[in-house]
Amino acid sequence: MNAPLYEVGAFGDTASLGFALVLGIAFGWFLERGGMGNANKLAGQFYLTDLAVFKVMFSAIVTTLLGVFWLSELGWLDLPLVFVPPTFAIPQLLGGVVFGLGFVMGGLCPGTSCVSASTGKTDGLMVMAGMLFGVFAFNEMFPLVERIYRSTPMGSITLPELLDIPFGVAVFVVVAVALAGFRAAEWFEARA
Amino acid sequence: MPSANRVLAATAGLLATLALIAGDTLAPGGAGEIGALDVARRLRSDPDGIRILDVRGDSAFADFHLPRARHAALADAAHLEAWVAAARAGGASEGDLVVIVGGPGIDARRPWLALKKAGFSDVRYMRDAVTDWLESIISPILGPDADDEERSAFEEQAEIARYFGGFPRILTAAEAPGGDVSERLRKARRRGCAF
Amino acid sequence: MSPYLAGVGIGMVLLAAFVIMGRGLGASGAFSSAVAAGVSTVAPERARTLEPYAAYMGDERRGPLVDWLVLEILGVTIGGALSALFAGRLRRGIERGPRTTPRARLAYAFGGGTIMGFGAKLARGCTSGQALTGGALLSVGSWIFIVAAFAAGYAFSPLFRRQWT
Repeated sequence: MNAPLYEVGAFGDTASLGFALVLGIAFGWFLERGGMGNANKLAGQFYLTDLAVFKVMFSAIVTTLLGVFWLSELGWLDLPLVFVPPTFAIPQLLGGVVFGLGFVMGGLCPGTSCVSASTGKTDGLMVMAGMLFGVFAFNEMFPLVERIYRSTPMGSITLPELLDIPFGVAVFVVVAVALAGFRAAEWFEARA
Repeated sequence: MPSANRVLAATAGLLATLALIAGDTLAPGGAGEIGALDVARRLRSDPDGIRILDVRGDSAFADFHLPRARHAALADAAHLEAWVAAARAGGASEGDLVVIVGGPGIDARRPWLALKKAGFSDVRYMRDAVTDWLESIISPILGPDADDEERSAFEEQAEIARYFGGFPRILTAAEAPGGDVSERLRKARRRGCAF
Repeated sequence: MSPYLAGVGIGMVLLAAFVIMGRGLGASGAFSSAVAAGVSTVAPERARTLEPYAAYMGDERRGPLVDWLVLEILGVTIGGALSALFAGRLRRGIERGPRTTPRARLAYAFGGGTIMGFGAKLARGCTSGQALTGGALLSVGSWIFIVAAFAAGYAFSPLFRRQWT
């Protein structure tokens, strides 16, 4: 297997930064194409008027998930060499709730706030400024939250491992749920 | 629904259905990782029930390796299979804990996967075994502001450390652990936080 | 572009990131680096020793801004601008609901951003790093984050109905 390329030594650190830029440009391009730079559109998710956020996010997840499964299955991607973000159940649950609140309030997430700002929207800029402040506040308050932050570590565990089901079964279930979700999203939008 | 969406949905559905009936590919993740402290505990309590396989290079192995570790350089894939066979013939049962020792630039997960597929039920790996062993067993440290729970956990760790010839230390307030913390974190950070 | 197509596009980019780098995409991490850089110019000792900052200080020779995520986010900004440019969507303004004043919108934006910054630090990621990257790898914690964030968004939406509708 000769991928991930960086992990098998295909190129060095400087080139990897070049890739960071290129991948970022492509990411930002598609975010804007999908309308994700528009706070009104993003907020519509939570009022069931415009479910583009769900469609974009889960189309992406399904695409990558299927790609990862099949590239690994065909022996073209060495899956163990791909870094899986470690699980910390409680802080990720709490952090998710806090993040969701901030998201519906601000109308943009960290990535899309950059897209919004770069396309000329001042509110995007303000979300970015708020993000910097929020990160700063967290760092300064760290001793208070440290206990929770470090709690419930579970390592780089994935759903198939947790539920003791084959990877392929998990893929099927996730895709099926996503497709059903898309169906429901179309229905909600038709009603709005 | 517009036809482009139908095509996408159908493609996704087809690929997902094929995934369902495809063979049992190992999922992403790191539940196979094991820490130095756990390895040390097993080495002490059940030395014959644990096999340590070091897949780093020759000089790395010669410089320092874990107690009772056997060497099998990664480049020599055939050797790995031979080891598996020899291990079985020599009495290593599938119930034994097999630990793959990796290091910087060496990925312990591939042999881990190979052994798992070969039928060993309890295989684990250590990403950077030497650093982990040095930090947890040879020179474990506890900060001066640790609470009771941390202290009693450290006492157990210190006892194991001494058994393997380590030098556990509880830092005094004067020895600010600032620099130490930053160094370790910088290493962790370099491994790539995808967020 | 249809949101589904845009999503597939993002999915391909994410897949490329896995194949090329063995890691996914992120966003909030770049903000952490920026904050660490800022604090290190004002109070370098603090940034070097205090854990949340130290983690983002990176290689001391190059500093926290020469960092994979920072360059990626720079790319995101450029890519977004390019796409808008080619589509004629490059326009100064403030996206807000019909009943909201610009000033109020900007206040909500800042407040929301602050709360998200805190939440992203606690969860060790955001929609890019956890939901997309971790989600595509079926990471348990990432899926917990996805469900929690969406649930919270819906739960708290009544509070901001006036801002958006």
